[in-house]
Amino acid sequence: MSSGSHLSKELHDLIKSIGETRSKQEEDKIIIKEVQQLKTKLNEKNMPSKKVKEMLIRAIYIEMLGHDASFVHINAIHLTQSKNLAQKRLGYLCCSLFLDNNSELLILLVATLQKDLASTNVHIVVNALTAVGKLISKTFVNALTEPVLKLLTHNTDIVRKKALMVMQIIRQLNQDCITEQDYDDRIRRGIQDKEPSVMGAAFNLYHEELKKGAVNKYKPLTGTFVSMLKQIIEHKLHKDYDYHRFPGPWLQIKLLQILTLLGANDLKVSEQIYEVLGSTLRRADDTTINIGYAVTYQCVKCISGIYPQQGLLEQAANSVSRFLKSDNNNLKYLGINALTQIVQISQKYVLEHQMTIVDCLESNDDTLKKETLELLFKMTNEQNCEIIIQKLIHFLKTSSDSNFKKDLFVKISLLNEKHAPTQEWFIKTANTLFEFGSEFIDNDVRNNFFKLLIDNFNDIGTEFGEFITDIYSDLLKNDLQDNILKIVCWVIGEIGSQIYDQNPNKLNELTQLVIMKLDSQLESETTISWILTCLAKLQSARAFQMFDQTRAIFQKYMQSKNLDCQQRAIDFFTLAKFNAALKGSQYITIDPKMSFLDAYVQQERLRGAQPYNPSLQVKAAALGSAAEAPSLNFGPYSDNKYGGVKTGTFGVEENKTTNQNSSVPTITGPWDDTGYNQKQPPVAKPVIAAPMAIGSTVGISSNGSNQTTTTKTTMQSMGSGQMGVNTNQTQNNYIPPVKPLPPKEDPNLKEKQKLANQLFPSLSQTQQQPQQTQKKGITAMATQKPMNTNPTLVPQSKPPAQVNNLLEIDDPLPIQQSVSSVPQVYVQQPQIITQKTVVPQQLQPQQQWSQSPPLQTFSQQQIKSYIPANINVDQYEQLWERNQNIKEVTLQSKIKSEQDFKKMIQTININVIDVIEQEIICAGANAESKSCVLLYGCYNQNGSLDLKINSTDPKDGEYILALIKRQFC
Amino acid sequence: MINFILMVNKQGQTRLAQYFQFLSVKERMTLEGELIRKCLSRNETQCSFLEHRGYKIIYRRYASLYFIIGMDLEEENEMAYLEFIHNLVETLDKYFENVCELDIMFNIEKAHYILEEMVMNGQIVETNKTQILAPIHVLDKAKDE
Repeated sequence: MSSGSHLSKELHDLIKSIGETRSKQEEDKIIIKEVQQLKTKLNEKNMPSKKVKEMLIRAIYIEMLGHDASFVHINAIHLTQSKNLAQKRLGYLCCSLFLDNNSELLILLVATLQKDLASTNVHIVVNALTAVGKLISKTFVNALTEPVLKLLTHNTDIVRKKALMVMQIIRQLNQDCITEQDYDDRIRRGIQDKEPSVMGAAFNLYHEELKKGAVNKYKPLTGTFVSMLKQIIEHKLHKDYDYHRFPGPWLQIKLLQILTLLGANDLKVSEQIYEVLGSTLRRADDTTINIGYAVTYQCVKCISGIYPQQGLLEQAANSVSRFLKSDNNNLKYLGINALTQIVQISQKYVLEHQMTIVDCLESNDDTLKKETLELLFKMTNEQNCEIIIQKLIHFLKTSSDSNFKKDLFVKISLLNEKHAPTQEWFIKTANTLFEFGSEFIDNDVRNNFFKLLIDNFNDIGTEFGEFITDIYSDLLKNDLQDNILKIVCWVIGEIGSQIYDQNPNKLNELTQLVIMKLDSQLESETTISWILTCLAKLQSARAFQMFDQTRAIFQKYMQSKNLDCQQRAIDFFTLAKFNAALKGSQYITIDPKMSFLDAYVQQERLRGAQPYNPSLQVKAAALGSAAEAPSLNFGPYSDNKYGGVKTGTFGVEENKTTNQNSSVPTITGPWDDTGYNQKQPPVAKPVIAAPMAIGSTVGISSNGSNQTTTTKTTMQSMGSGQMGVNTNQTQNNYIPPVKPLPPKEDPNLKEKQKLANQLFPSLSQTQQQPQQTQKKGITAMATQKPMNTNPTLVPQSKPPAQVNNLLEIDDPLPIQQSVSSVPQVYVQQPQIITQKTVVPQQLQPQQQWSQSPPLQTFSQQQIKSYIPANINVDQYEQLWERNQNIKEVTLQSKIKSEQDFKKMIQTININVIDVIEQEIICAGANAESKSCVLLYGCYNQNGSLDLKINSTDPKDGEYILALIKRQFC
Repeated sequence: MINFILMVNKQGQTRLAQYFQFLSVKERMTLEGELIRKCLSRNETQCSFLEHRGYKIIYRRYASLYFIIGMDLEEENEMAYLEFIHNLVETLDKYFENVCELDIMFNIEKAHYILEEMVMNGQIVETNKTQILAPIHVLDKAKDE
């Protein structure tokens, strides 16, 4: 038939010459000549339709070979109106080949199509439906919907089949043309059609609907599909549907796809499928032809896609291993893909194929390699992750296909995050990944990475911080791509500045390195913004010394034409002033208890609000014994135990982001009446144990007792910070961290520590504590003592770290919060005072007093009703935390020196506990009510006097305040 | 869904191209050129599947003519489409009797019609050769009239 004798000589020669060309240039020459000829010929009038037809075939060639033949498009449209069926079909074919669905010319076809669809000649209808299927567009879908739907009940099967497919397109183009109900009814009639070809077409429609997610409404049809599949595999179809004696393979595959979607995660539906699935797989497996493999493969996919069944899985695994053992790469490809499916259900089937998988990786077949990578990705776990990531990175380095590389990049970072064996390994892998895939680093990748770093930093602490700071500052010495430089800047700014907060040399070194980068060749100006931000963060470190340099840099960039740089430079420059101010200030006090909310809370409680009561069960369980759990711990700790936590860095790192939440439930709520227990505390041991067991997130330090205190500190601070009112104390007293003291050994602790060490290797406690405070948010943040009882604690009252943390790269807003957070406490002051009458009634000062061992050493009653309390600083701190009736006031007084102050204290008849510069703490007890009074004062030469009085009974506070006001103001 | 079906010979000359989603003449040329180069670069032992420009490509060579199908990446059964190509070739063979490249060239519209019967809206609608060829025979008769 290849003679082409049915063609005119001209067309015959043209096709022949095209067929004989051996190069693109030759071909182009012929086509260009042809285009010229065709253009002149088109002008001939009264061309016989046979000639028109041949011209269109030439046009098909012209366009197929890459040239423009738009000048004949209109002729194609004319030809569709031909009375001759063959010419009409060619007209339609040309339209579909030449015209875009959005072409305006198509409008000219609508009337013809409508007419043809309504034709009584079935062949014309079939032609028209074929054409509609290709040409229909949104603009005239409405005009054709009606006639097409009518044809769904046509007598001829081929018409019904095509009408079904066109209906699918109509629905894709415009949902409103056919209601969902109508559509469902019509496709149901489609699968019930007596002609298998119509039924087969309807499968496509079901499959599409299922893929779109409409699974539930078709579940009742599972039985129908199952029985259809059964009939097909049992050769119930006409043998015309056989392909290589295999019955209806494409129909089987379509049905399997449908069943997979129906049975996914649904045992009931899957149970209906298992049997037919088993026999379909068996029959397909019996063949050794490609189409049999195709069906086998689809069965495996179905088995791993529906609710898993052991027997079928075994069967599937057998088929897969046959694929994998084949020498044919197509079958290996199927095998690898099938294994990827199965692995997601059970990893065990991979083991026997390990060698094959490695072979496929080394294969010279890119496609196979790619699929194998996918498989590796899916089968990665902790054990094999190092080796797999290594392989993947190797491919990232060597591949030149950017789609493939992007895919690899995403996969490696996911695996690294999920399975990296150590932090160091994680960082190093990430850096290699960034180096070879820097073009794929976008904001998401970066932010995600930063989050991981900061989380790890919070978990592990200084060690990790130093580690990454070192790694990244080393990187700075090289030439870096901007994308990596941004990451480095962030790490140095965010983590480096915290780690070396007290280390001027390191800070200077880092700053130098960063400044150097400003002069290097940068790809984009946004990188400068990152560097500026990094500098600003470094500058907020306490030991920072290079203010002049950074100021000069900020000043320089304040003139920058890049608005972002300019804005940042201005912001940071301004902030730097605040920084200095904050660093210099002594009086920044933050009320961690948010006692300014006391009144509100009280009011709400009076209105019937539930008291805050964090999960008692958790607490009890964590404490081991319910009886001991809520008991108070009044000073059984020795001084040593409270010490040690405090290192020079306390307070500095207050602003690190944190992850303390998991310990929250262990806090005994301050409003927790039921939790309050009058029993004498059982001494240190159980209390020590408690936070250890609970505080899984809490740090472990080199010495056990220290650790406990820290834990409690954090917990307490969190708790009180969140709850606002803390009248009813449990053993979770705030124990302020003091200078480091030699550790005390506790056998119990050792064990616990070991356990926790396993859970959180190298967790360091000094980081932990500040971190935890911070996450509470700014208002609840600093658990501030009324007085810094230890000189090393002075920095605690300074919030430079806040600024540090708030200088987030892309979010300068929080800066304002940090500034406003400080005065907030003061703003609330008057309220606290005016509300004192409402202060909590659930207080039981007498009992509490009587149980407070440190206060039992009081001397006999003295003037008024007060007696001095002979307690030490730590006990003072404890008590301060326990008593929540704090009155804060700033007075203009006669007190201008320590002597004046002490005189005042003597008048009240309480005693001084400690004095640091102008800050004095005193304590006493009300001999009548046995309530305890704690006083913190800070005097000034100019007579301004800051006072905080904390007492178990609010009346004591009022009384003393009134006394002082009367006598000394 | 199937996005396109191509027949391209070893010289890189397109012998038939049917697209189910419109591409301009230029885009088609580029794509076809890239694809045939990729196919030619692969040897007999390598598998018949590729990924290219977000298409899953399945190809099969008959003498000097490559049959190439481009599908959505989500399409799941490559082997089924590989066999579909063979079914297409068998159908062409049944119609043309010992089909060769020239048959398709001289009867390009017929080859298109056969494809149109087998694939609609990018999905396989008919694999039964008798059903596929019935309308084509009707057209042949119509021409003779």
